[in-house]
Amino acid sequence: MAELGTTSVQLAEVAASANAWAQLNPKAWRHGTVITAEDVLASRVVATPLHVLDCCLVTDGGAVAVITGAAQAAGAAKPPVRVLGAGESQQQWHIAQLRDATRGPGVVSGREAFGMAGITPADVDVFEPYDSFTITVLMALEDLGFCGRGEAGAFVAEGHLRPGGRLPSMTNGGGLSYGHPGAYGLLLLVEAVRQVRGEAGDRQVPGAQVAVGHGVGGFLSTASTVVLGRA
Amino acid sequence: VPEIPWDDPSTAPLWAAAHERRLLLQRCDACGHHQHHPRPHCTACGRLEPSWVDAAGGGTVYAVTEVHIPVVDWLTPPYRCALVDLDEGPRLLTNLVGGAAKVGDRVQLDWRTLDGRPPVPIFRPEPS
Repeated sequence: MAELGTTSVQLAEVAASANAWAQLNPKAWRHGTVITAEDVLASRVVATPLHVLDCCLVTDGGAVAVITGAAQAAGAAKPPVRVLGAGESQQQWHIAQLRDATRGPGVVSGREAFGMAGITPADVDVFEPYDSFTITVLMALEDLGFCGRGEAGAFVAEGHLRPGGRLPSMTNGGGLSYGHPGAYGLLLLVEAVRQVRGEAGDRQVPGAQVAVGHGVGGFLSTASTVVLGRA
Repeated sequence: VPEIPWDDPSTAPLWAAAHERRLLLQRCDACGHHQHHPRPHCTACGRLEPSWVDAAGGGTVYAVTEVHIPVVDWLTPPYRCALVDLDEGPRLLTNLVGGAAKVGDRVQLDWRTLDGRPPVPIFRPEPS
């Protein structure tokens, strides 16, 4: 914030955007509980600048992904989704070893995944970033090149992550409003698969062909990016 | 809080110096790189057995947060947790006391002892 001018209102808009999606997903923990940016800013402070509504939920949950070859998948009960690209990166471990807090490990994992898939951020129809905290999403948007450095806050505040936005993101409601069982990353892929298959119900992004899941682990230490597309 | 191994072989000199209110860093004899926490090798060039040197005690706040929830029973919120860049180069995760130092502010080394634990390096604003 000191370096790039990001504001608490912009952070709060991340949580409000995720919550807008949760209203379209009956399985979301906060389905029926509307959270606005003002609600986020009025919630109690956990560690400045983050309020409790800037932090993901703590819930139970789980997920399974079946990964197989195209020949096997051809006979499966549901239409397969293709892994177009994947990348992973570890930048440091301890937070004190973080050289530049405005650049995360997603810079490398995103470059690898997008490169393997032969796509650019402009080709992505749905984005499923790990939203452990609202700031994590802003870092993901910049690390992966959806926004220039320092521009993610304004991008989110313009509503582009929300239903109908230019980059529909956290479409199940996210860790912020859907659920967060700890290892949330696999749930990102489940939602990405549902979007690409066109089975996301009221929250379906029309015509979604390419979806990206992006997880961050450790202490902003590691990242994994997966590009999924129609088979 | 799990029992912390205060002094394993690689950190024993650091904790011994802490009892004398001295913050030790490691400096590589080959390339001059300073590092913290202690390791048996230089993280810049790989040379073994870096030398111990005293930190001068000056630093600059790189990032800071005020913690408002209890995390450990021996630190009562609110308290300020920060990344401080020492003038020698290493970045420390530490606490700030004695005022509301902001990102970019100059701070100086101080020490805190709690519950018979070894003294730990903390920082307070540099007198203006």
